[in-house]
Order: sequence, then structure tokens, then C-alpha cells
Amino acid sequence: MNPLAPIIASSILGIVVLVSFDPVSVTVALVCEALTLPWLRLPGARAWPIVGIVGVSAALGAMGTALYGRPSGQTLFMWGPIHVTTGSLDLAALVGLRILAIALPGALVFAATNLTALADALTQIARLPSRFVAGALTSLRMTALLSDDWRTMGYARRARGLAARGPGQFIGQSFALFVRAVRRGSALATTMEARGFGGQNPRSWARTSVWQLRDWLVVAVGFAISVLIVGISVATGSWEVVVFG
Amino acid sequence: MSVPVGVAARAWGWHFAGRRAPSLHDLTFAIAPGERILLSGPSGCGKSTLLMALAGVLGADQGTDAGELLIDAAAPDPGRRLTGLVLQDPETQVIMERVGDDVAFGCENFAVPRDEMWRRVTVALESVGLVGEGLPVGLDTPTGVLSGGQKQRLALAGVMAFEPGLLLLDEPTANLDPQGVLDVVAAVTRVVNETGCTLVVIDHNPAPWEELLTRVISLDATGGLASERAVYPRVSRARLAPTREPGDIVMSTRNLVVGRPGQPGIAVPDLTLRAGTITALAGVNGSGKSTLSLTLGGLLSPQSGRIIVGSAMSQGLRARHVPSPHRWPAHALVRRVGSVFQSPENQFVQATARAEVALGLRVTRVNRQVAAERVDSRLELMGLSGLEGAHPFTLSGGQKRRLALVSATVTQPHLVVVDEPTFGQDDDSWADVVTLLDELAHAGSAVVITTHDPDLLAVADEIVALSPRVPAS
Repeated sequence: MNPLAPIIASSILGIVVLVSFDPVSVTVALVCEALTLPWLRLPGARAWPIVGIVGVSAALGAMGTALYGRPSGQTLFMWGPIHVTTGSLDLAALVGLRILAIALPGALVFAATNLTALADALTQIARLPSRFVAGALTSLRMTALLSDDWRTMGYARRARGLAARGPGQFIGQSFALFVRAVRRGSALATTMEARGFGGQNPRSWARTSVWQLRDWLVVAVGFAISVLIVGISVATGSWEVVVFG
Repeated sequence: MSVPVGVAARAWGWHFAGRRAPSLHDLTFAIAPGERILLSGPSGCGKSTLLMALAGVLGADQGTDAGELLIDAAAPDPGRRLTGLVLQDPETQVIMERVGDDVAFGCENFAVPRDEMWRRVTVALESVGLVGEGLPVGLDTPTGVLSGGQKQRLALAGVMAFEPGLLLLDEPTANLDPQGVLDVVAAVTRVVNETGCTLVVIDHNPAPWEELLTRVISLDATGGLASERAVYPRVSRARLAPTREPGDIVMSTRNLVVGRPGQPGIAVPDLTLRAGTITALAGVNGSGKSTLSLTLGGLLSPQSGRIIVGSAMSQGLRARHVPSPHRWPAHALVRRVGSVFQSPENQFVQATARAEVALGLRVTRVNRQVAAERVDSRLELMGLSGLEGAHPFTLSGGQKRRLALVSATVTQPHLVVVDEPTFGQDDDSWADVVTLLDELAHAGSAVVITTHDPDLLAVADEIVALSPRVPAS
């Protein structure tokens, strides 16, 4: 499967869920996602933590809405600024489910994507400039090193007698982290330049990125689910779009 | 196959923007195709700059050049596919996620057709001894799991795959353990013999290269050509410290298990660190030397076991904090322990070399006059006079390490913990480093060093061997 296919499919789906704002469409979306996301074949050990994190964020979002959301219907509980009503509970459930339905496909698709294969697809299929894509790819790989850097710099400041905890340390250390990232980035850029990257020469690719029938099918499934969501929701008369402001 | 290419420099020089003097000047030399050159010279004399210029990666925005520098009769340009560059830090040379893709990267940039590319990738990986029968690494191995020595060989394969005629190596072994050094030298020897390419290598420790090299080009401290190759005898232990007398116990450990957060613990032998002595921690990469150093330095809490702190160092600390150096307040720690990290860049927190050295004295409120004098004398001892105003990051690798060493020890702490003090030093600065360590011990510090350097081990009073990772029972 081309890595762009699930990204396109989940983007179409994501936009539809983002625009819609009713319990029927979000329920249909979640059911369809539960049926299709296993196709990503992401190992459980990697998938479940992501589901967990998204689940917790959804629960937090729902809780906030339940406690502080616009009151309507019958009041169930009131204490200071907290005002729980039947209306705010309904809204809370909807908000929680929407977070799940929008974030889950994106997070799981991203986790299942091989970055190198994605870069190949972006340059060869989407025809994005290779300098830009390879630059982004290597910088993504570098971000993994940043948490180690942060810890090491904490050791350094303490060893040098500077580690008073507080905003001053945080700001100083953040700036130092930034400087390090820039320095490492420029060293890596030197390595890449020395291997001929960024020259005027034409480029070849170690791996071909192919777009096959099944990739069209994946996109079609994403599109079909989106149509299904809107269709069922409109047919049951519950279709509503999100109102901004 | 690669065709070896030659180099010609005519009165060539390079002046970095913002520096007072040129880094390199009046260089006139020629390298014939197929020669194997050691580029030598004192730490900070501009060797790396010359190598970058040959690789064509010194940008016009970084400085100005004079004279002429030619590779195969034209200006250096990485796009000509004539030069392959391997640098010192393994971390900044890994580009892709998988071994095969990383080696293919250069071939992609030079539009090598795909079938030919994968053939070359395999050949290059086999000739550097990274992939082959019975070896655990394959084309799909994630690059992140490789050791430093493996990453350096990966970088070598990555440049050999596009078949350059001139191989440029900037201290490719400086961050490696002895086995890693041997593997990299063997890999370079094999590819140079197989392809016949021209070689220019910088290494502070040229001994392992000697069979391969045909000639030495030496630079002097000002960045000009040296008339002869300077030879600096290494300081022998007998000359250095005939009179070091062990004093009181500064720190000792019992059944210590060390480890970084979230990583398996490593059991280490019990240590007794006495004032006035140098203790060396020896062992291969991954045996826990650096982790133990951080723990002794009060930066990492031990996973289990005890640290016993001597009475001199305990004074002024809260009794319940004494056995836990990682709980000491930072200002109390800096008075008692000086830690020098393996990568000196990791510990710089100031904008000039002078401020870096003065910091410890400032936070412990040493009289300003006294502090200024001590800073000057330490900078001079380490051969850093004249660089007081330079940003620590702009110094050479060896200078950075010496600056890190003086700035961490300027408070004359009870305990000095130095991770690999002689990485990246030439013979001259090697002697400076060892002299300072010896002075610290003479002045009453307990000095702990981790090292792979056999000459440095000979300077130690005691050597503690750490074995590779054994799960703590």
C-alpha cells in the first residue's frame, strides 16, 4: 500500500467528521473506523498506547464540556462555576466521540507510516521538491534525539552550579536546545551536501513509489465512508454542521 | 570504478568571517592521484577547515578564500562526485532510517540507476565489513541501533558507494573505543586498496594508520605549512607524578547499580576514591563508564547501592543529603565535584571561553581579583590564551575538551570526574591535559577518569575494569 493512500483517505474522512456536528455522523464514523483501521496492520503493542492517549484526551475534553459547557435542559449538579446539565452531558459525549473519530485515524495512520516510504511517495507521486522532502525527513529523524539532549543539558547546568529550578532555567535551557538543534542540523546538512545533495544534478531513487489499483481502492473506501456518514445522518434527519463562533 | 584524483593548492588561504586572522594562509602543496596523506598539526590549526574546503562544503557565506585550491584541475564542488567526506561525530552522519537507504542516499543524489545503485550499496557495505555472511547487520537494519564504530563504517560505505576519487576523513576514529578504531582503520584500508582512491586523513592518533599512509602534510599553529613534522613526546608517568601520595577517602561505593532513567541497571565494582590519586575506569563502549561518571558526579541517582562520602566533602551539607550527591543543591555540588562530559559541547552554558571558566568561581562567590587571576592562569596552562573571547562552540574539538576540563575544575573540587579526557588531543595538548589532571590530584582532588587510551591508563594510580552490560541481579 502506498503510504499516501491511507493519509488521503483519512484526511477526507477527517474533514467530514470535523464539519459535522451530530451524534449519528460521529457514531457512523467511529464504527467504520473500527472496521477499517485494522487494515493498517499496526502491531498492538504500538497501536494500543496511541488509542489510550487519544482516549484520555477525548475523556478530558468531554469532562471539560460536561462541567463548564453551555447549560441547557435539566440541571443535575451545580457548584461554583461548575454547572452540569443534561444538555452539557449530551454535548460532552459528542465532543469526546468527535475527538476520537478525528484523532484516531490520523494518529494510527501516521504511526503505521514508514517515513522513508512516505518521502519517496511525496517526491515521486506527489512531485514535491526532493530538497524540501528530504530535509523534512531528516529533521523528523533528528527530533528523536532532542529528549536526550534536554536531559543532558539539565545535567550540564546542574554540574556547573546553575540548576536553580524555575522559569529562568527553562527558558535558558530551551534556547540552548534550540542552538544545539541548529548546530546538529547544520552538521547533518554538511554531510548531506558532501554526498551531493542539493546540487543541480538530476536525482534517482533507491525505491520506486508506485500507485496501484489498491491505493485507489483505499482512497475510495475513505470517500465511501464519508458519503455513508453524510448519507445516514441526513436520512435520519440529524445532520448538523459545526457552527463556528 | 573510481578514478583517483589529485589536489593542488597555490598560496591558498581561508579567512572565516568575523575572525581577526585567517585560519589558513599561504598553503602551497600538491597531492598526486593515489597518494595517502596524513594531515597533521596542532589542535585548532585549521586541519578540519582544509578538509571541508577540499570537500567543497565551505560556503562563500562563511568566509573568504585567497589563492587557488584545485581538485583534478577545477575548484572543489561536491556536485562533481570527486570527493567523499567522513566526519568525526557518528551522530551527524546518519541520514536515513535504514542502513541500505542511508548508503544509497549519495547514489540517489548523483542519479545512479536503481539496479546499479543497489549493487554498489551492497558492495560498499561488504567492503567496510558491515554487511556480509555471519554479520548481524542487513540492508533493512535501523541505523539507530548501530554503535559509533558501525556508524562511521556506514558513513564510509555511504561515500564509497558513489565512487569518489578522493576520500577525506576528519578524525573518523576520535569518538570510538579501541575495537571501533581498528574496525574503521581496517575498513578504510580495504576500500582504499580496492579502489586506489586518494586519501587525506586527519587523526590525532596516527599510529593505527601508519601502514596505509605514504606521506604527512603538517600545518603549523598559525595555519601555514610547517616545514617539518613536529614530534611531541608523550609525558611518561615517571616524569609526571613520582610523589603522588594517597590521602583520605573522598568517596566510596558499595554494591552500586547505575543506569539512566528507564534503562536496565549496570552493576559496577566497589570503588574507593582517595584524595591525591587518579583512578581510571576502563571498559568497552556500553560497559557503563559514562553512566557511572554521571552517578559519581551527583547528576544521576543510583538505581541501588550506597555512596559513602568522606568527611571533608560532607562538611556544610545537610546530613540526610550526604549519601545522595544527586540531591545536593547545584551550588554545593559545583564546589565539591567537577564533572567533565564525554561530549564537551554538552556542558557549555556560557557565550565565551572566559565566562565558561569563570562561572564556577562566580557561583561560589570567589573574590573577583583572585578569580580573574586563576582564570587567566588556567587558560594559559591549557593553551587557550588568545581565545578568551571566542564562543566555546567555535573552538576545535581538542580545544573544547580542554576548555571543558578547566571550567569544571577551576573551583578545585574534592572530586573530579572526567569522561574520556584525551579524545581528540594531539600529543602536545595530550600532555597539557595530563599535566592538569596530575596537578588536580597533587592539590588534593580525587580524580576519576574514564578512558580507552593506554597511555593515559599508565598515568593512573588504580585501574578499575568495568565489564559489558550484565543484568543486575
